[in-house]
Amino acid sequence: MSLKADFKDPGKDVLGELFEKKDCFQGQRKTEHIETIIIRHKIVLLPTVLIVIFGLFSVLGVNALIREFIPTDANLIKKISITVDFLFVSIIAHFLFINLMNFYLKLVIITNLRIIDVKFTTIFSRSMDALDLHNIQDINMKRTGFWRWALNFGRIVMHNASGNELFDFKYLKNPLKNYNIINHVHYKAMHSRVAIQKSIQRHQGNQPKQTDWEDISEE
Amino acid sequence: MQNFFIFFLLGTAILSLLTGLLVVFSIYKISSKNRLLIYKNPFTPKLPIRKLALIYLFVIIALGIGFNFYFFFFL
Repeated sequence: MSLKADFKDPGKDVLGELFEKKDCFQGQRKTEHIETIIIRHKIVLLPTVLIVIFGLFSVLGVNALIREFIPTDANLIKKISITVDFLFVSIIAHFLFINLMNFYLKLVIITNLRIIDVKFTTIFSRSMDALDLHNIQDINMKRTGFWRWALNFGRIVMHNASGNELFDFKYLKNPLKNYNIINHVHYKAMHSRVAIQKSIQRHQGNQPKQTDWEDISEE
Repeated sequence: MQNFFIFFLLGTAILSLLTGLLVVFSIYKISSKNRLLIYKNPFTPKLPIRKLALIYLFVIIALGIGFNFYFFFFL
């Protein structure tokens, strides 16, 4: 059976015509369409949530106790206490929401041509790294440990031919599923590249060379 | 002393509001150039980023108004 027939386009069925539109992200090429988008697992928000809960309980609790035990005519202390409460609650609200938005602004976009690591933050930082699928030699997936298994998050690392790490995505959601998608997309890209090279060779009148990709597709 | 607290509370509320507006403006600008952030699909969050930004702005405004109201009328 040909591997080509077995290949399922991972993004197209799910997304339908949604990503047929252009300009889905900055720097998108004309022939580029999105196969999938990966975001990090919500476990990365755990430190933020803990800081918020601990901070609110400590400062609001201490201020409430102060207000409880001071004499009723000490209006100045009450005013200071309320002012500190407002200042602290405002800072906590900013911290929580900005972290939450930053979480949703960090994405990994897998297209038919490239893998794009988007690292935006709400105001100051805009960073995008793109890697052509042809440059990837090896893709590793790691999901070790009980919590990673139970909550289904892990790490995907990509290497080039010389063994250097090109991308290291930590705390990704559904690592196994996304690993399979990246593998399929990578295989498809390499296969199309070999086909183009062969057609060029034929056009030039040379006999195309046998390649590893051809061996696989004929099995 | 009373004036100091009034200026401090109102100043903090206004600074907070300005920060919120800056963040919301920035989010709208990012998502208009990267439209995948606002599509509802299985991969992007169930709560789209623009709605989240508006909720954030609402919370900031509510906190500012609430605390100032409490300070002026109950203390």
